[in-house]
Amino acid sequence: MTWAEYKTNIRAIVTEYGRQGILVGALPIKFAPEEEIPAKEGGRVFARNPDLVFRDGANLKLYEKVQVVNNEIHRLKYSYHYERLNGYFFRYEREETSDLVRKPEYHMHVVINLPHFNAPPVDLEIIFKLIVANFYSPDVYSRQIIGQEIHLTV
Amino acid sequence: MVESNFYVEEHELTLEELKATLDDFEREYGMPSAEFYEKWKKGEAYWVAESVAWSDLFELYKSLNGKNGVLLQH
Repeated sequence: MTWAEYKTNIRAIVTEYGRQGILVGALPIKFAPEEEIPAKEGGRVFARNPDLVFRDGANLKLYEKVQVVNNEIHRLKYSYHYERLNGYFFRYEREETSDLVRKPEYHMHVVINLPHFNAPPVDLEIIFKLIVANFYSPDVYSRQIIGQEIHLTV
Repeated sequence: MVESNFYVEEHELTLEELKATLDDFEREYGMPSAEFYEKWKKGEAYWVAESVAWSDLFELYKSLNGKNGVLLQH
């Protein structure tokens, strides 16, 4: 896949969830090139302020730094931050680290920004599937999640 | 399938817009990008939820700034 094809793929994913009524309103996607490599071989993809907005007012901030090598996509860094109106959030990230225990390269946060929990690599498609299955499905599983209250002190 | 009121906005950033994005981070988190970046490098900015994006875009801005011309369009 080329960088151009990857950008098209990102557009297609976002558009599809808009068509399904999961995302609403303006769906802003911004692109910036990667400085260290030729522009046609990678760049940044992001959506924030305005974020991608879900039909219930929840939002998703996304950020990816992408490099294409031999037609293979490498997401060198990413951040997918899903947040509901009441403040509940989770965020999957990949970023550089010097402490593999406290901050694994691939990690996630839930409700608060620490700790960094080890997590599998994900991409935008996986993130949308995860969000829809857990928060926008009409089945019993989703109904047991929505409306839960959390009162915590760490 | 549900028809929704949505539209995809796609945009290639210019250098000025990249700077505006950094300004936006600075307003939201209440510190200059350079100060955040130093704290982030030392592991002292975990409270910034968008540290991956902010630090990376700041690095991009530093690498592009001063090179003249429209560098971010391709």
